[in-house]
Amino acid sequence: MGIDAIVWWLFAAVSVVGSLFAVLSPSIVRAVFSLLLAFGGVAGIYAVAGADFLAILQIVVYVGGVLVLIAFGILLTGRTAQALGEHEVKNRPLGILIAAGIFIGLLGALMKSSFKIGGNATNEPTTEAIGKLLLGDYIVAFEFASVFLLMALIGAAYLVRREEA
Amino acid sequence: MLLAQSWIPDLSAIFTQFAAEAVLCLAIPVIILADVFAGPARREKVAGLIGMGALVLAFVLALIQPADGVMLTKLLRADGLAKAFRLIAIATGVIAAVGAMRGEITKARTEFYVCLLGAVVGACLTAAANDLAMLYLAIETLSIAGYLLAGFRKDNAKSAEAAMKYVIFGAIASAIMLYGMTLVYGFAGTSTIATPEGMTYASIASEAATAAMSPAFLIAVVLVFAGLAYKIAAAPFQFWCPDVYEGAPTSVAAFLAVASKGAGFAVILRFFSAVTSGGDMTETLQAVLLIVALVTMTIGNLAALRQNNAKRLLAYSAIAHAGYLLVGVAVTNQAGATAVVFYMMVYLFMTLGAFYMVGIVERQTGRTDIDAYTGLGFRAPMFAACLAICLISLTGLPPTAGFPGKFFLFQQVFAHAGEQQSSLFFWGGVIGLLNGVISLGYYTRFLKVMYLCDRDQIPTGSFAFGGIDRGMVLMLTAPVLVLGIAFQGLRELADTLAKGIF
Repeated sequence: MGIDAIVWWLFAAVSVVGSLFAVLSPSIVRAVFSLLLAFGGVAGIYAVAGADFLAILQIVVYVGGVLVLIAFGILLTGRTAQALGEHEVKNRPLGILIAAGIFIGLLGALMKSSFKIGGNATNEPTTEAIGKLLLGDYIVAFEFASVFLLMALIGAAYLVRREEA
Repeated sequence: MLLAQSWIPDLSAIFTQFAAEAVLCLAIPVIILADVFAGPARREKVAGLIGMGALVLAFVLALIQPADGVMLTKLLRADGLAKAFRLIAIATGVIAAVGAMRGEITKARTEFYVCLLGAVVGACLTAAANDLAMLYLAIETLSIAGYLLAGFRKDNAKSAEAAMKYVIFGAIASAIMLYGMTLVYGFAGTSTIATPEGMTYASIASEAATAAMSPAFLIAVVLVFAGLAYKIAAAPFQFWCPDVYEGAPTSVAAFLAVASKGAGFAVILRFFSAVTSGGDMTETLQAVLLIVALVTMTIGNLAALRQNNAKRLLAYSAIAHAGYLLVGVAVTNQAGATAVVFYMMVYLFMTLGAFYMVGIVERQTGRTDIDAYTGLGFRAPMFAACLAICLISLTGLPPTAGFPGKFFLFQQVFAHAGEQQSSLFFWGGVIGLLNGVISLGYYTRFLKVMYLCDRDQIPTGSFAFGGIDRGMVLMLTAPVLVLGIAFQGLRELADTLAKGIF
């Protein structure tokens, strides 16, 4: 096992443990901070795979944006300590069974299959290529994303706005 | 020229191939700016004017746009399928907008039109998408616009519940689909669905049939299909449908029932034509599609029998229709695709007509239960006759357009059963026909309360049905009758538009 593989497994373990804590923790604050581990671990996996731009995006958008937003949202609403503890999970054994079944099924099928898309083996910077794709082949999608975001913003602002009677 | 680098695509085609979408996209910032400068007094009127103007202009452009299959930077495809479902989406947008302006949406029309135009353009691009990334972006635009529109009645708790349920189910379905897409991308090595030379995924489909990869390939396709099944409200992803239709403004429910479903079917046709174009996996996928179709229509029809709420009833009817339409996809051939496009166009008229009339009753009585329709056959004969025509067509009986629609769909199933010696398809067709009989049970309940009620139960007071409402209802109902008899023209049109999909 090369150094790459060791680092990969390390990050994979971090993200799995983080996700498990996020799902299982009864405290919502701890769940949010466990997500930090999960997001960081995924960013690490991207980095090992040679997707440098994606790794940075993962940190900037998820850790820096989404996570901070969730944390502030929870801290500002006040009821933090036991917010999730009151919720009783029914059918836990059945849920675990189904999840495990899906996991084993997927694992078994995917272990036997071959992927045509591999990692960035040469470890070249990907930013330039991504930039060219975004403003080249994918320009329509890139521009349309702005229409989409504008619409989502206007709609969300409408839904949270308090109507003056 | 400095800009003329090889990686910059030629975008001049976008304004001829995708003029309708361009108009809709441009209208969104125009409405917002107009809102700022119009002032509070004229704000609603200006928004309505620009929004409706853009939709109508887009519809006209969509009619004359060529459908020659030109690829725009590999992301979008301007073929017949894109044209058919673009027309369906924009027409639905126009009718939903008229319904909304007559009814529930009196305030915040700027925001309503921004979301509606976003939803329409999302549906158009979903039908035209030829790349998994573009497809996902377009579907998400349609979905998020749908969430916003479903929750648009802020004073109504059910509307908020509808939006919330739609978001949660939608997020899960979206995640499942995205996972499936990454697997497909990984196996195929490309995110482009079709190239001018043929289907990109044909090669992996045929590889999958022979190699040990077949379970993984099947899982990937089923995962993508799961996300699309949510969009068309097919089993087992139909749970959101009745609650969302009930809580959402009626015109929005109509939009979700026709435009969202249509866009979903366009993708399903495109995607399955790509993955079934080679190899032995085709038979398995056909069986999966057929079984999902049968379960969906049976669940929808049986659940509808117990409904007393007109909007929930139409929701279950929409679920059942997703099942009927999937039958046309399950045969994975050209004739099946034609039948789906034909049925979708008929479905547009009868479903929008039914929803529009439910909206009229809701506006006048404030009720959506079936008893609100008591005696309408005597109080408003024209209205009741139109509703009866739409419902008979949804059942699939002659002389309405629903009959040739269902006939073409099930004709393909039995033809396929004969060709492939498939008893599954034969019995599938039989179950489908039985479903038509079940659906008679709940559609006729409307007819019963409208026409066969005790005279003394008929509420007094007038039922207003005139002006724009009457015009709209007649415009939607007349084609249901005319196409029930003279369907040859529409069938040829559907055949042209569906050409080259399989």
